[in-house]
Amino acid sequence: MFIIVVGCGRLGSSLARSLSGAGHRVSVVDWTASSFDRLEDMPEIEKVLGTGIDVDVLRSAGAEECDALAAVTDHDNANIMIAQTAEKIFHIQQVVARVNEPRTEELLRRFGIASVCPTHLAARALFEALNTQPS
Amino acid sequence: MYVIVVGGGKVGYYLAKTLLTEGHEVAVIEKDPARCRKIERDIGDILVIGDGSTPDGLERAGASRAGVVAAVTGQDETNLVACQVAKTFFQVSRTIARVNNPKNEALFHALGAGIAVSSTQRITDLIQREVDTRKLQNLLTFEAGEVNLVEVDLPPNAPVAGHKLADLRLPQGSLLVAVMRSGRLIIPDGRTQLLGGDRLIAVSQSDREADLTRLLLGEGD
Repeated sequence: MFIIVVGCGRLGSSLARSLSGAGHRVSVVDWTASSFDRLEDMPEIEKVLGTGIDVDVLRSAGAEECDALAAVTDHDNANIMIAQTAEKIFHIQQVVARVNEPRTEELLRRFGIASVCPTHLAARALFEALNTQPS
Repeated sequence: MYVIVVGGGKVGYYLAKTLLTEGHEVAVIEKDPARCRKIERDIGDILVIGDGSTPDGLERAGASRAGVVAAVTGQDETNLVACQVAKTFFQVSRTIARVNNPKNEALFHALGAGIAVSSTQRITDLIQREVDTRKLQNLLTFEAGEVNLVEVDLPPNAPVAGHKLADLRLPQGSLLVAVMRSGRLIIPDGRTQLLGGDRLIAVSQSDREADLTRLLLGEGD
């Protein structure tokens, strides 16, 4: 698959690396050039400099031809806007967004967009790590 | 009317001030403490400190009884989400989003943000109107761009100059609603004669604007 990852922070770069390792074609988008240092050793990943909330930046990253897009910047609102644009304007098959505020996930559900809430995931993992031995 | 303004920057500050002067009830949601202090000092206790693009922030401002939510921060994504949250969670029927990047104006319509206002685009339009008079200028958009209120200055050599409205065949789906002549408003009827120098205001379906332009201004240069 051809997958666009918007946001090349710790999470985005790690996701891009795994996807590329699994054999997918990957483009990453970030508006800070230095964030691409995290993927310096991955020349096969295309790096697109610009903000993901700009349709032209998404287009130049391949939004018109990609199969999937992940919006994983550290701003909920940017991720929501990017994911909605991906779904509504570019009609990308599979769109997923990182959203920290659980209630706003509703805004994605309305558009049929999947969301992942790192806060929930971490809380559950921590809970399970601590809850192994019932008193 | 109760108006919630999301964002207490320059735009939000003056918007809140103006709305209060006109007798509206206003709340400003702003997360930056320095901006909050300035508003509190200059305008009064109309603040909700928090993030106006979250259900929590809007809830604390009492969004469910708001007539209008205007999201005017400097971030397009925040304005978009604030309007969507207001509509989805609080059934606010009228939302207005400030668009900082003019490219996003059409996108905001497509994503259901309500009315999208781009100050950059408005200023560009105003300048263009002064530069290029041979075009219909868009004043207001309804139904996500399908219907427009448009304005045009009639040049002295316009094909319709000197004709009565009854003799013109305006395209179906368009209506001339006002004629401004020497600073005075004329509500036109069939007997109104158009003159060069008139400023005409019409309501038109967007797919009829080309026909309307041709009728009023001719076939171009």
